[in-house]
Amino acid sequence: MKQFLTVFKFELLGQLKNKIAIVITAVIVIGLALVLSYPRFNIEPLEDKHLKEVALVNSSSMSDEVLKPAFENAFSKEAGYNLTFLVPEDELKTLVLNDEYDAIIEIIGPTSINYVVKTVGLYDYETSIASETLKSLYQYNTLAEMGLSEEEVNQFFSSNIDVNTIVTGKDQTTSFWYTYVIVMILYFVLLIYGQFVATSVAGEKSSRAMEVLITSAKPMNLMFGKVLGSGCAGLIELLIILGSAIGFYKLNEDVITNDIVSSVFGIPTYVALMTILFFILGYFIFAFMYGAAGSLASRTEDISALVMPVMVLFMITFFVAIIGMNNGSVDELYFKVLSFLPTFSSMLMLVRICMGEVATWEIILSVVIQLISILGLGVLCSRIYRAGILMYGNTPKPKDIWRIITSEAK
Amino acid sequence: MKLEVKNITKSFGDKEVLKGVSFHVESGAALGLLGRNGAGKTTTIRIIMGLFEPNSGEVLLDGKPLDIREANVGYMPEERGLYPKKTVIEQLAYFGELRGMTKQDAIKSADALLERLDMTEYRGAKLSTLSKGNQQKIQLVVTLINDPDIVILDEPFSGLDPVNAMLLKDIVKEQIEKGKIVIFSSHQMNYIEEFCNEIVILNSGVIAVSGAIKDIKKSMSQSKVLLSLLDKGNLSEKLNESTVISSLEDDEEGLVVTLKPESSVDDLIKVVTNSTAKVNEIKALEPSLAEIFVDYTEVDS
Repeated sequence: MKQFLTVFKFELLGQLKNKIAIVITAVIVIGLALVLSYPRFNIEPLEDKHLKEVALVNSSSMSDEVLKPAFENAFSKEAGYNLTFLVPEDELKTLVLNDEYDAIIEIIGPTSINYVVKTVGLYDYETSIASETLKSLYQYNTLAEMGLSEEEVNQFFSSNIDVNTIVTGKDQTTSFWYTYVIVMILYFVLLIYGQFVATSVAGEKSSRAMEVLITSAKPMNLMFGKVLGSGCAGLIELLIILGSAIGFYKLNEDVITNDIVSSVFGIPTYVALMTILFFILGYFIFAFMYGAAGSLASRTEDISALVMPVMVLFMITFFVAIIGMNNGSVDELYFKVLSFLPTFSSMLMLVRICMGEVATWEIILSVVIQLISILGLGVLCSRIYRAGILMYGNTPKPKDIWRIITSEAK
Repeated sequence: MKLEVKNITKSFGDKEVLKGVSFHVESGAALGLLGRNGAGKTTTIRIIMGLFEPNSGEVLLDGKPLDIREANVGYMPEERGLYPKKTVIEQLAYFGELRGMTKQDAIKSADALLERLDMTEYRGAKLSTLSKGNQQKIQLVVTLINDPDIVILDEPFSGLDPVNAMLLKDIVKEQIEKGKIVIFSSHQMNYIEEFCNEIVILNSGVIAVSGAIKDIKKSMSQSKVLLSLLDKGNLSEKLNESTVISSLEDDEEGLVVTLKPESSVDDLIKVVTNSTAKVNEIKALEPSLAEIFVDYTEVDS
C-alpha cells in the first residue's frame, strides 16, 4: 500500500507540475473568462454600432404614405439599419457601386421589388425583410379592398396557435447542448490523459528506468499508482476548469442571453454528478488500455502506432454518441445495447442519462460492468506492463501481444 | 547469507541462452561474472533479479527461493536509465521510498552517497543535464540507497573514466568489507582480478570455468613455464624431440614452454639438464585473468 501511495504521489505531483498541463489549464481558464465575460463588454450604445445604409425607392403606383411607415418600422435603427428615401432615378447602381448605400430597395409594383446590392452575402436578410414587409402591405390592402375593417384584418393576421408541450420524459431541446458539451469535454480529456499515461509508461521504458522500477516495486502498484495518480491530476485540472467556468458564468449570469450557454450551465445536479462518475470510470478503462499500449512501445516514437486501436475504438464511441444525439436515437435498441459495453459505457450511458430514458438498474448495471472491466483491464495491463519491460526493438505484432497475455496468465 | 544459483536454463524461442548454470556467493565475497558478448551474463543477472523466469533451475537465498522485493537487493542494470526530466534528488527520494524507506531517510542516504561520489553539486539538477558518466554515478546511488545486503552490478565500469572507475572500485570494496554479497559482470579484467574472490566464466550459456581466481591460476600455471636462459644451447631441439611439451615459443625473456597435461615440471627439468643450455631461472607462468578468459572462451562452437 505504501508503495502504491509513493507511486501515486510521484505521478500526481509530476502531472500537476507538468508545464504543458499547467499552460493548457491556464489557457482554457483565461479563454472561459474572456468568452463568458464578453457580453458585459459588448453592451455598447446604439450610435456606435455600424448601421447598414439602406435606401428605399418608390417607382410603383403605391403611395409613399403607406410604404414609408411600414418600411421604417421594418428597417429600424434597433435592427441595425439606417433607411433613406430616394426619388426614382436611373443611376441606382452607381450609388451602390460608389458605396453611398449598402443596398437599395426599389419598389416596382405591389408585389415586385428590385434589390440592388454590391455583393450578396451568405446571410442576406434585407431581401426577406423587404419582401415580407411588402407582402403584408399587399395582403392588408387586398383584404381592405375586399371590405374588411382594419380591426378584422389585424385579428386575421395576429391569429396564433398555442402549443402546449407536455414532456413525459426528457426534453431533448434543453438537454442537447449540455450533453454535447459534456461529451466533447469527456472526449478531449480522456484523449489527452490517456495519451499522458501511454507516454509516461513508454517514457520509462525508453529511458530504461523500468528495470530499476520493476525490481523495486510490484508492477501492479506501479501501474495502478500511475493511472490513479495521472487520473487524479486530470480530475483536479478538470475541476479547476469547471469551477472557473461556473464562477465566471455566475458573475455574468445577468448579461448572458445565449440559450446554448444557459443550457450548458443549467445542467441538473444529478446529471453533473453522473458526469463526474462516468468520467472517472471512462478514464480508468481508457487509461489502462493506453497504459498497456504504452508498455508495448520500446520508444516514445512507437506510441502512436500502438495506441491507434485504442484511439479508433474511442473515436467510434464518440461518433456513435454524437450521431445518436443528433438524430435522436438515444433510446433505440442499438444505442441501449452499446451503452452496456465497457468501452462505450462511459459516453453512451452518460448520453442516455442526459437525453434518454434510463432506469436506475440500467445505470447500476453499467457501473458494475465498468468496475469489473476496470479491475480486469488493470490486471491485464499490469501483466502486459510487466512482460513488455524487456521487450525492446521491434514493435510487437498482435501475435506477440496475445502470447504475452496468455503466457503470463498461467 | 548465501546466494545460490542452481542449474538454471533459459531459452528465448529456439535459442538456448543458458544451459544449466550454477554458482554461489556468500556474504563478504564478490563474484565476477565473465564472458564474451552474448555469453549469457545479463540473462543470468536478470534471472536472479526475477526479470526473467528461468525454464528450469532456481535462485536460492539461504536455501529459500529468492524474492527480489523482499530481500534487500540493489541492482544496477546493464541498460541504465532513470527519469531524465526529474531532478536528481527527486528521483533518488522516489526510488528510496519505493524500496520501503521513509522520504527523510531516503534523502539523508542519497545526500551521503552523493557526497561520497563527489556529486553533491548536481543534487538539484535535472538528470538529463548530466554527463553519461555522472548519470551512471547517480544510478549507483539508486542502487545503494537503501544499503542493500545484495549488490548486483551489470557492467558497472563501462563508460566510466579512470578516476571514476577507481571511485567505483573503492565503493565496491567497501561493500565487500561491509559483508555484502556482490555480484557483478565486467569486461575489465584488471578490476575483477583486484577484488573478486571468485569468478564464473560463461561461454555460450555454460560455465567454462568457475572458482577462486588463485585456484584457477594455479591449475593453469602448471602447464606454462618460462625458461630464462643464459645460453640456449641445443635445448630447443631436445625439447622438440621429447614428449614433455606441446608447444614452444621464443619470448623476449626466454623460452615459454607449454607442458603436456600428463607431464610435470620435473620432467621438463630432466630434459633441460640433458641439454647443453645454461639456465638462469625456471619460473612457472601465472596466466593473467585476461589470458584465462581468452583461453576458455576462444574455443567457441
